[in-house]
Amino acid sequence: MKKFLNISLMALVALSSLLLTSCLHEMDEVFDEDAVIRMNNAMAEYEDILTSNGGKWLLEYYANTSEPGYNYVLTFAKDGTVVMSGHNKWIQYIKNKTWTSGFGSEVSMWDVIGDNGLVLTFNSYNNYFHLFSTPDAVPTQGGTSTAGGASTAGKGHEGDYEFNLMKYSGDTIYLTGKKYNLHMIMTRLPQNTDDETYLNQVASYNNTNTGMFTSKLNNVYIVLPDGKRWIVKSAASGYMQIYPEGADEVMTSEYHNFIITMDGMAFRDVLTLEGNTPDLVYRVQRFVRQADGTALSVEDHQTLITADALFDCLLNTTYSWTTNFKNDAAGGLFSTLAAQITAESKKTSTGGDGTSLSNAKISYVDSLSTFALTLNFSKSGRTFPAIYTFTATSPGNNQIKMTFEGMYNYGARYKSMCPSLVTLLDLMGSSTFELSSPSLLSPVKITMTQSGDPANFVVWSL
Amino acid sequence: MYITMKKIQYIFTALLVAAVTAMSLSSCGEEKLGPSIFPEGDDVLDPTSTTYQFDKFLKDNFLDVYNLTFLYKMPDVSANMNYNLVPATYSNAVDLAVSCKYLWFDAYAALAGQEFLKNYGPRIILLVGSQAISSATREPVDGLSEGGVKITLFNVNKMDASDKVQMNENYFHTMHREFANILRQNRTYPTEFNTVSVGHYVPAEWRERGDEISSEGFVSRYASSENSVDFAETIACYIVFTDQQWQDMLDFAACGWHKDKNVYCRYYIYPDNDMSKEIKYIPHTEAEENKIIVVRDADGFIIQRYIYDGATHTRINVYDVEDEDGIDGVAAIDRKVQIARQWFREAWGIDLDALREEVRNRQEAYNIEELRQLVYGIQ
Repeated sequence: MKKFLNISLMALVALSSLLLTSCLHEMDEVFDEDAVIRMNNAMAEYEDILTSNGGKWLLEYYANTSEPGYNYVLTFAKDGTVVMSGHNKWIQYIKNKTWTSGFGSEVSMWDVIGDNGLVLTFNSYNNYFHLFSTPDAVPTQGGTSTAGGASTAGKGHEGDYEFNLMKYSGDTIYLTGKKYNLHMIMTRLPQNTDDETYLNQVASYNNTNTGMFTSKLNNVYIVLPDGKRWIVKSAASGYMQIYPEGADEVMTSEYHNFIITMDGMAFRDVLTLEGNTPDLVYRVQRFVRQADGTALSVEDHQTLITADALFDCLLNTTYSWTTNFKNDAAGGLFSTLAAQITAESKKTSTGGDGTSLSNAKISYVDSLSTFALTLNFSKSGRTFPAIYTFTATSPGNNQIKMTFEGMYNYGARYKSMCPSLVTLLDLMGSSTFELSSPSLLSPVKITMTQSGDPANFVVWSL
Repeated sequence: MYITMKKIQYIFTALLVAAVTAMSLSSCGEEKLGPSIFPEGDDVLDPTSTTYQFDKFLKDNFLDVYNLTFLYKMPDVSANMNYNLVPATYSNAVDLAVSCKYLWFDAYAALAGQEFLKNYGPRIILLVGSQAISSATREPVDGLSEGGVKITLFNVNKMDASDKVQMNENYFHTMHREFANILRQNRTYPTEFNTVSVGHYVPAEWRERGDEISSEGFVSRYASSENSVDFAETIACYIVFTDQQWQDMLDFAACGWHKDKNVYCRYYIYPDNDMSKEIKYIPHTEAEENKIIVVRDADGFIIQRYIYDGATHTRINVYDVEDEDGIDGVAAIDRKVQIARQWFREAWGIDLDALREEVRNRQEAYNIEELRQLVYGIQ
């Protein structure tokens, strides 16, 4: 009996202690409020952030990893509408089936929802934005675009229109596409920003002929702080091929898409580039456009994207530089002599043949295995090239000194016909010239100015 | 009083149990419930919202009446994430919503009452701007019904509400088919239906078929994909087809067909009317069949078909291809309609023909401008 009572008493005490402890359900509060309330507050907070100060933002949008980034100016209103403005070739194609970049702006809906964390959704169709999310086949440009075609039916560009809101910091919102997980940013714009003016300006930097990058150059370079160069190709397409200079192009090439912005450019992802030795690794992503046209890394303030030196550009065996000596393309003696040469060749009464000097060209002549200055004279649709070969040196930074060596085709004929041509060749062969360009990253125009006499210049265009 | 040891044990055990029970019951005092963690007033419409008129229309006409959520601001989690989809345009969403009410919900309500739709209508209608195109097959989907409660309507952005024919073929047809799907998901249809065309379904090839599929007893090529689709398609086509469309389909069902160079044909000629020459089939295309001149008698019966050969100024007689597939397409379609009619009456108490009439009358009177005022007229 005693044993039974003892066991029972112990059981009673044990159970009581268990039951008593079970009521101790108070826990330390990690958060002050319930999850739903915190979520709702966060949604309201982002709605306020998006709509405050005019509600105008720049979205650096990436549809996928192989197309350029696209700038969109977004104006969020509290009534649930958003004005979405863009400037790209897809918008222009929708508007009038042409492939130049064009501006488009349309109103649609937006919301911040909580279906997968905090999500910014553009939840009604906007012709100029959701074009990147439609499953329709991507139209092809002249049937040659590798980005489009029937194979893209059901996929389209595969762009997101819903974005996880990751962080807000310093008037920048960090987003991640909800479905395809690409990282993007939105930065606040002044409320008085005019969408079209702003985007037109950015589009001018994006022009493949005259913009930040040109399709006319074979390649440019990413120059690392230790001097190592990475060759950059196809930059004008917005989808850049890069590989270390001297390395095997096929085996080492990487491809990165990027966006041209108002102040420069930014890669979609961080580039990790090896310097001269494996232990020298540089990480860069955003670049600022400098006054000379080159792009300088925001991250290390040293890595630079630039083209070959102007001398090397001018004397690249695959380029052809031309001038017509007219208007702003020549000044001083160059324009004067060009006019005199035409007058002399045109005047049959004084030995001329009735031709006019139509243009001049600097290029590498394969058949002669040397560079040459070619003056093209024309008459009745026929062209008579007067070719004068030369060698060149660069006595100083961005300088050129030419030495003329021989005459080919109609070179001798026009030299004897036009005294001013002799003067021109003497001018070019006896002087050192300074080379300059509005952009050292996209030097599609190089001005050759006589050292010591800046009035005498000629502009060569690629 | 003598108490045995056993009784003491019982009493003590009982006291122990009672004590434990009392402690367990009293130990956790009932806490007063705090306020709801969900924000109040979420279902109150915001009159300053730019979508207020539409939201109010949807609340008044779908949510409050049928407990139906009409999702027009597409949340992608509501759709199949395997597809790349985009939201509907606002204006087209409005057009489709008012059309859904007029041609679908009001039509059923007129015949079966609102209770019927409350009980069996979908709980969610999701509008999607684009087609759902399978990246594997590249084939589009124009509508889906799921779990008997949700209908997804795709390709809303291509909709032109002023084009009755397009609306009928691409949207109303889909609506009625998907609703028929929901109804059959709620109450099974007679298995006899599955026997009518058994052995003739072509799940993998139906997209490659054309009008000739009717001669095998199907109202549409999609109907030939599987029997449950056939059932829903039969109902949808019966309801939304115009008399002319239905008759054309039956005409195709009555034809013989011959596949010539991968093209189905229902007519042929003997070149130069010379029966010794090899038969030439006329492809079943509008352009080719329009060349056929039809001669009818006073009662409208066809007495001759011919093609006029301008070069020789002769009439080339046109002959019907013999129907040799062994299937009476017209009878099969009639039988399917009969089964559907009976199922509607017995399972749902709805007269399918009256529903058809109701929908047709509404299609005739359909005026999108007036319907839009149901939304844009809201103050």
